[in-house]
Amino acid sequence: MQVTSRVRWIVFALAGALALGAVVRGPGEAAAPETGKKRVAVVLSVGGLGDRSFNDMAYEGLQAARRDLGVIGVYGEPAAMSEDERYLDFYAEQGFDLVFAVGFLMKSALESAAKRHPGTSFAIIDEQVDLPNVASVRFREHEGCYLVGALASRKSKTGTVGIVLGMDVPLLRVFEHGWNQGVAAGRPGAKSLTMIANSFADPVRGKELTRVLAGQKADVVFQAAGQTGNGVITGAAEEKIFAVGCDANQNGEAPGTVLTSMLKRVDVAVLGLCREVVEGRFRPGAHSLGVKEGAIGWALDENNRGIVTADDEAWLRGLEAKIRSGELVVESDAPKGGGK
Amino acid sequence: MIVELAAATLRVATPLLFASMGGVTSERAGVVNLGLEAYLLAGAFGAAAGTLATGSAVVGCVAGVAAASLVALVHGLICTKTRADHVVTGVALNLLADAATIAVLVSAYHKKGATPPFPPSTKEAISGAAVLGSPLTWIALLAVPLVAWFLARTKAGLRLRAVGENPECAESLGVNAARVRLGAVVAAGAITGLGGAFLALEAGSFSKHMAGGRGYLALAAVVIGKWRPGRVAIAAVAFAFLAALSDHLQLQFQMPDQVTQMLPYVVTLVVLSGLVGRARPPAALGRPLN
Repeated sequence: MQVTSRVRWIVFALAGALALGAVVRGPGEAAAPETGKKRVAVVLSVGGLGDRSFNDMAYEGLQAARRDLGVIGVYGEPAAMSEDERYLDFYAEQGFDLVFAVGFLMKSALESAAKRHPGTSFAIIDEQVDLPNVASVRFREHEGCYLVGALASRKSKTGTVGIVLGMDVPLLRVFEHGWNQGVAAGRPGAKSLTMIANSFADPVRGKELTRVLAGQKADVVFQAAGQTGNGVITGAAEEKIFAVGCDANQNGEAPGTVLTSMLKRVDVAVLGLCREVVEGRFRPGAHSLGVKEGAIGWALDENNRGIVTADDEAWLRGLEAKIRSGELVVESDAPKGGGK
Repeated sequence: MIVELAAATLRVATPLLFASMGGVTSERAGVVNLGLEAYLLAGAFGAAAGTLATGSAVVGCVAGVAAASLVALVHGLICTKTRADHVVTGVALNLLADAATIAVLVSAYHKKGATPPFPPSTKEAISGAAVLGSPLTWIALLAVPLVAWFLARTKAGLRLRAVGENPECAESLGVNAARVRLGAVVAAGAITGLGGAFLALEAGSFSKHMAGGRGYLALAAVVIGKWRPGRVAIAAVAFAFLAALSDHLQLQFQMPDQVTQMLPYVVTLVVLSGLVGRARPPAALGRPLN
């Protein structure tokens, strides 16, 4: 009796947790195939929707594809990296025409899934997977980071700016390197400080790191840290310094505090690949998107008009045009042993 | 630098102090509390909901305490009315809270990751940017002697400890052990809920998973501090100091973050592996009532 009661409670508690988890996080139902309509699934990276950034943009791209191309689109939010593969397999088994893996963390999961389902087309954002049924989308983020870095140091009063990275991973080091080049271009002798949060989901920590940077006289802080970055913006507002948003347009998060946002149009990439599938010209292999393709840029809207003057804008548009024409090439790889 | 470091330590310590005092209260009554993470999340969510609904951070704090107490009540009922394993229920509760806060987030705010940001007025009122830090930080510091006094000097505190050491003996003297444990767990929820409220008010919104393991770190502080409020508080503040220090080291001495961010955990392991001597947990800790 005692044992059964105890077991019953444990099972009950776990079942409750799992049931709720499934409601929130499960791959969900696969949309039933309709005649002629292409089906697209987007598997979001850890953190999921609501990062007001990377994942949200992928979702926007999916919505645009549903609206403009008439595809059937669903999305999945794995609760942990260990579930990524299960999600990818699930959609492939359901016969989806294109399955997106949003984010570099999903590389190995996608490799296994794509090998198991050679008949399904896959796409991965931010990584390179060399398989005949995978399109690999890489953004030239360093171009955008260069632009916002240049504006940041131009607007800095102290000559010191900062960047908060979610984790110490190669992709974000590329962000940092592009940013540093821009910072040097915007104001000779300006310096940039780097902090690593080791979490993409801890805004309180992002805020704390922003305070540390402000304490070192940094007066513009760029966040490349997912939801942790929301705390960077809150912290910058409190310290009365500027923040720079990332991936999505975050200017509206704290008008007057967010100087600009580095735009990485994941939505442009998702929509573009959906279009390829709908038009039957899906192209596996490397896709490189940058300023030239309109997939990388910086945000100017009513929220930051008051901070970015017409002079600043014209100057930055000049840099942008140089990058577009190829006259200015932003390095993506940090020199060996250089910087941290 | 010293002033900044001290201020940062206090800010980082605030949620840890609340959660570890909650942990002490619950564990001294004999209930192992792995659910602190769930209380923090519930507290943060409640605080966000309350603040957004009324525009008042104070109401938010009250709502956070209420939400965390409610979760603790469920936890306490499971731990006292059944013979369920405390560790397993605590972990299940954390999973449940993680998913449940997201579910409510979606149904109430139609957002999947974070609530809308709080209005600016509420941020100013209570955040750590105020000259003397957040009022919640001071309440957290005050909670330590209060919990110590309660456990050592009050009748209810003595009963609570008696139940944690030997519930049968306490029962024989007319103490309702189940009720005392339930009360202790709900109190733990209320105290920890303030820590959750602090997280939400610091961040200026609720975002999912935002407890970020602080509940577990607080539990480590409870064990390192040998279940005694003063020592537990020192352990919690030490964790916070190491975290704040690691940020400064990372920046000023260009130490690799992989090294600096290991600090709190290395210290935990070293201390737990015998440096503080033998810890004696409450004798009936984790033992279900008959």
